Parts: sequence; C-alpha cells; structure tokens
Amino acid sequence: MNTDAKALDRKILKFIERHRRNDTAPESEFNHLALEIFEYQFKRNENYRKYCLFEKKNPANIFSWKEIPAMPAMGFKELILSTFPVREAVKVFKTSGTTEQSHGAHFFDTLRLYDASAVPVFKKYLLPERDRILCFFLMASPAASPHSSLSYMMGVINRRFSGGRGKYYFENNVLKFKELCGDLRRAEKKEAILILSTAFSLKAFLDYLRSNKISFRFRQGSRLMETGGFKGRTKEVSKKRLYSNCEKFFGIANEYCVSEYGMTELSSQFYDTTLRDKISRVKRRSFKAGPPWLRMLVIDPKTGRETKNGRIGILRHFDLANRGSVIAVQTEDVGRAAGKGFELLGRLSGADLRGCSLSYEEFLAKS
Amino acid sequence: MKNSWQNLKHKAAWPPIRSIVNSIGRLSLSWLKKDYPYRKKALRRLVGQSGFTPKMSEALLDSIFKQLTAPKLWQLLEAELGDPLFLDDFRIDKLTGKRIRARGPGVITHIFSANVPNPAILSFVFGMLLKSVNLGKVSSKDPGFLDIYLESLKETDAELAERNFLIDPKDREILRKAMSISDLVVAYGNDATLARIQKEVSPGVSFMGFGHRMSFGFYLKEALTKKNLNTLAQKTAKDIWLVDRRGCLSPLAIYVGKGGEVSPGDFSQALSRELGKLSVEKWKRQGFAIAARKSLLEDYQRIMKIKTKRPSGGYSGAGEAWTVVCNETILKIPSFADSRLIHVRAFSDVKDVLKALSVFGKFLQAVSLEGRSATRGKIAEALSGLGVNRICRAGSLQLPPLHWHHDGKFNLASWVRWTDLES
Repeated sequence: MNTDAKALDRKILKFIERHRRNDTAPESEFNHLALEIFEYQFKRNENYRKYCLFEKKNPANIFSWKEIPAMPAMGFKELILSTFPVREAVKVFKTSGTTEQSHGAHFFDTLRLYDASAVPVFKKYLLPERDRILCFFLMASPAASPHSSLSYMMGVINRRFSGGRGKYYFENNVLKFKELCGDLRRAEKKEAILILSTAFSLKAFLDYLRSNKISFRFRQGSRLMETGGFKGRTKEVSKKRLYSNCEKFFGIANEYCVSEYGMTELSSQFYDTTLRDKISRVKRRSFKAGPPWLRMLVIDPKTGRETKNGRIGILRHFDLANRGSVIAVQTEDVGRAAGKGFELLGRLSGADLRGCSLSYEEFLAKS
Repeated sequence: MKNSWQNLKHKAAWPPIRSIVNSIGRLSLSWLKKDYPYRKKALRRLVGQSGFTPKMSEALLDSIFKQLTAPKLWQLLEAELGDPLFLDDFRIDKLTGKRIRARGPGVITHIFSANVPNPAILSFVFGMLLKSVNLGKVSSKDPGFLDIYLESLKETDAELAERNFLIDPKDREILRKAMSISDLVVAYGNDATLARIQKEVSPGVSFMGFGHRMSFGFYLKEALTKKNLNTLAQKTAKDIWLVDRRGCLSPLAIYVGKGGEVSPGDFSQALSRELGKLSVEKWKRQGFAIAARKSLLEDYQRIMKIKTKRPSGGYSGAGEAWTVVCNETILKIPSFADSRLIHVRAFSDVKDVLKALSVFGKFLQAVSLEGRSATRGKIAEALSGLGVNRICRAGSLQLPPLHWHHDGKFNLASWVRWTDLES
C-alpha cells in the first residue's frame, strides 16, 4: 500500500471510530473526507477518472459530496475500478451474476476498513442490547466461498459476536437442513440465537420445515437477519409472508427480523431500524439506515438530481470505506427517502416481456 | 356456470358453418365502428389495464377485426379444409371422390398469456368456426378483452355466444376440471408455462402450445435508398410500435445492409424519428421507468466507451419511449434496457445475418424482408430452411393474414379430425 492510501485509511478509521456509536456525522466532516477520498481516487483510479471526465467533473470543480460522480454498479462488471494495481489485491469480492453473464469484481488492498465498518453498524441494528449471540448461517462459509462479500462479512460477525462458534449450513450448493434442524433443536432451550440467511435460503428452509411439520420456539431475544437474495431470481417472495412464517416456525416476532441491504460494490451496509426501534422503544415506521460513513441519495432519473419530499427514485450510495475503488456507486435499486434513511422498493427492470415474446438477453441467458 | 359448460358438450346441433361465419363477420364490422359501445369499453381496458396507448389500442383493434370479416373467415376455411361445408355434413371430396366430413374438438380449453390480446380473440373464433365449446382462461395479470368480445357476441348471436365460457383465472381446480373434459387444450405463453400445462393435460387430450418466438427485420442494401428511407423507417416503426413490442411478431432487431444509398446509421436516425412521432402519447405510469432506463443506458454507453476505447455504436433516443442502437455486433445490453431498446445491426454480407439468425433456431417466427424480388426469393429460401415460418414486407409484421401458418402449423386443420365414408 502506498503512503497516501495509508494516510487516508488512518483518517477514515478515525472517522469510523469517532462516529461508530452515532447515527450521523457532521455534514462538513463527512464532506471534507469524501472530497479527499474522491481526489485520491480521481488520481489513482484510471477508469473512474475517465468516467468522471465524461461528466466533466474533477476535484477542482466539485465542492460537495453530493456532486461526486457515481459509478454505475454495472461498471464493476465491465471495468477494473481500483486505486492500486490489482495484483496487489489481498481480496477480491465478486458479484453474483444475475441476468448478466459476467461477474463484477471489487478489489481490496486491505480489509481493515471493511472490517471496521461492518462491526459497529451490525451491532447497532442487530445486537443493540447485547454483545454475544450464537449464530446460524444459512450461507456458505468464508472458506468455501472466498469471493463472496456476504460470506466474508459473516465471518467477521461470527468472530466478533459469536466467538467463532457459529456454523455455516450451505455447502456445495446444498442447504444442510437436517444438521441445521438438529443444531437449532439443541440450542432452542439453551440460549437466544441469531439466524442469518439470504431470503432465498430462508424461504427454502421454511418450506422444508412446513413440509416436514417441524417448528421451533426459540428463547426470547432470538432474532433473524435476512438479506435480499432475490436479485435476478424469478421466484419472488413477499417479505411480509416470509417474516410471518418466521414467527410461525421460529417464534421470532416481526420486530426481531431485520433486513440487511448490502452490495458487493460497497464496503458498508444498511439495516432496517425495526429491532433497534423495538428495543429502544421508539415508535415509528422503520426504514433502512446505515452508519455515519455511508450516505445515500435518491436520484430522480429524469433530472439526475436528488428527489424531494420522499418521491421515488434510484438509489445512489456514498461510502467512505470504499477507499480502494470508488466512493460513489449508482445502483439499479428503486427507493425513496424515509425517516433518516430510505425505503427500498425494488429493482429497476425494464423487461416487461411476457407470453410468447422473448428478449435477446433472455435468449442468450438460456442458450 | 360450472354446470352449464359441463353439460354443453352434447347439446343441440350447431348452426351451419355459413351462419357462424356470417355472425362472426357481422360482429367484426360492428367492432370496426369507432362508436361501437363494446369497442369503446375494450379501448378503456386496453389503455387502463393493459398499458397500451389510446392510439395503439385503436390500431390494435382495427388490425384484429379487419381480419375477422366473413369473406376472410370463409377464405381461411377454404385454405385449410378445402371446403368449409365439410364441417356441416358428409360431402364429396373433389380430389379423391370420397365422401368426407370434418369435426372440430367437442370442447377446447384455451389458456392465454398476458402479453397481447389478439390470440385470445382469434383462438375463440377458430373454436367457434369448428363448432367447439370454448372454455377460456385469461391471464390474471392482464385479462385482455375477451370477456367484452363475448358480451358483444351475445347481442349478435346469443346461440353462438352461449357455447363460450370464461374460467376464473385464479381457480386452478376449475381449470384442471376444464382440461380434463376437453378434447383439445390450446395454450399460449412462455416455454416454462407451456411445459407445466402440458404435464397437466390428461393422456388422450390433444395439446397445442404456442410458445416463445422471435421476429426480425432484414433489409438488403438496395432497399436503403434516399427515396425509400422515410417510408421504410415509418413501416419499421409501425412494426415495432403496434403492440408495444410485446408480441412474438415484434422485431427484436433490424438487420440493415451496408453500402446502400443510405447508411444503417442514417436509417437508425430516421427510425428513431418515426418512433418518436408514434410515441407522442405518454405511457401510463411508465415515465419513471423510461427515464431510468435512458439514464442507465447512457451510463452503459460511457462504460463501454471506456472499456473498448471506442464508441459503442450510434445511439439515439426516440421520443420519450424508445431507444435505437446501431451497431455491427451483438451488444451485451443490460436487461433493464431491453423492452424498448431497438437494435439496428449493420451487415455487409447476407451470410452473416443468416448465421446470426440460425442461432435462434426453433424460436424463429417472422422476418420482414426488403430487397429486390430475385434476391428476396433466394434469401426467403434460406430463411425457410432456418425455420422462419413467415416472411413478409416491412410494415406488415404485426398484421399477419388470417391464413398465416402460425408457428408454421395449420390453424384449423390441425385441430379437426376427419371421418371418411366409403361407398
């Protein structure tokens, strides 16, 4: 790592340390650091610089973090977006291919920022009142899936909050239902647990429980973290139904089910405020919130500017922990501002082709 | 309703075929009148629920009912059965001298998809022509306007109307029941849906599925003249626009020859302009999606430019709704951009287009082919060999004649069975 990167990382880590317990950071402080990171990336990330120049933006004509050009998430699929030579990467996270054939890659020259970012926000929204919990991961282990950012993050969570006792139940593309049920049954009466799963695996597990007439009643304080594993999947499940089944089969109430929103292209995550609100007895409609080093704008595609009054738009994220790639990422997710965060409404999908028609991409994906 | 359709199979004799043709033809003439109340009702449905624009909906209804006039229906019967009167009783077949009679299936269950409303109307009309009891399940996502059509039929010919029924689209049990008492199940939809339905069809019941298909435009360089440019662009725009690019006859790409008086890039610009003119009406609820798609497509263009160090092909926005991309190779466009993205592909050698189309194999449906007659004939031969089942002119992709062999098959002839009476 070069000295500039090290110096910048120290500043980012200080920022994280200073605000890890806060809901937000002062605007000027965030702005100052964001612009500094942008300047660093403009200098060192060649493809991002070219992209910025298309938008006629450079560090000299940008004064607010909101103006930093956002790299579309699809850019990670087509371009190398790194501030360092990729041969120096200590970790590469790859995006799961959805309708696209190619996989995107997010290169890291250090994971210190990633780890430092993941832990406090997870604690704040999943474990606000406790430090330890036994974890059950319905996903592949970090060793089995070394390029999955989600598995990596679960490894960090496991070490920090479960003392490494948590187990992974997704192996060779198969969910080990029997083993999971056995382990859950043993833990059922002993201690509160945390189930962490993609929405897809969770649905599969609940289906398994239903067809085998199995259910659990976990100890009070047990909870669930689910993450949107439905991207690009044809089968969609309503979150409402998923959570009501969690109550039915696990005895975990709605308020103890937290949805995580993360992207391979980012180093920080957002979570529902549901559980934290319940525990701190705040009565409000929950929304997705992130740490103070991750900000979000809802962009109106017609104007390219921020929407107002909670109107629907496309989400754009600014993540200070993304020092090694690009600070601003334009997603294809649709949402609107809500509370002090946002509400996720879905994904842009242009293909409204049904019936006998078939699209090129659909065809190429099939063939 | 359940009881009524289950008892109908052996009901009183059907009217003669001439009478059926006249009834349906008369009804079509009513539907072609702009002030016909049922037409107005269907228009409201097509705009309000199916998401077509008013202009598009008008054109769609005209295109359906102009085909369903009595002379055209009679011509279809002649084309497929030889003599339509075979459906009434035994008659001498002029070719063999034998006495033969044709019968349609006693009961047909029709299962429709949500993309376009035309097949539902045509399928029921075909069933009526064959004197079959028709049970229809429309899509719960978008029912089209078959119910309105059947309502209007009640006024024109109540006897004919009472042999047609609609099944509750959400009641899977009743659909199963309907399929079990049918002699034929006809289904329209994507391949996965068809496979699922076919599994549920009882042995002994015939099944006919109309699945995924793809259509294209194919313009040879001689068609690209300055004089012809605007007309060709207008016709192409009409092919794309008419059913909002939702059907299997909507062209997925237009292959345009290089070296003509007009370049493929110029053609793309003209097409873009014409699409813009047709799309002056706003799409209901879709302004956001259109803008989002446009902005993401622009992003994509930039990224590809950085990646390939050259422009990724001409691109132009067409009004609010469509985007035309002109390129020589298949662009891996993200899926969000697909539904209103028009690919114009420039080519130098006809063989390259044939090779490109051959990839689509059994999915090939129609090609609008423009060029000199002699060359057109040769290319048509090659396209037929690839599996294309309809070759037409630009501007008529969405207006297939009633006697077109849909998916390369007979329409009525493949549904009937024959009895031969030997002396």
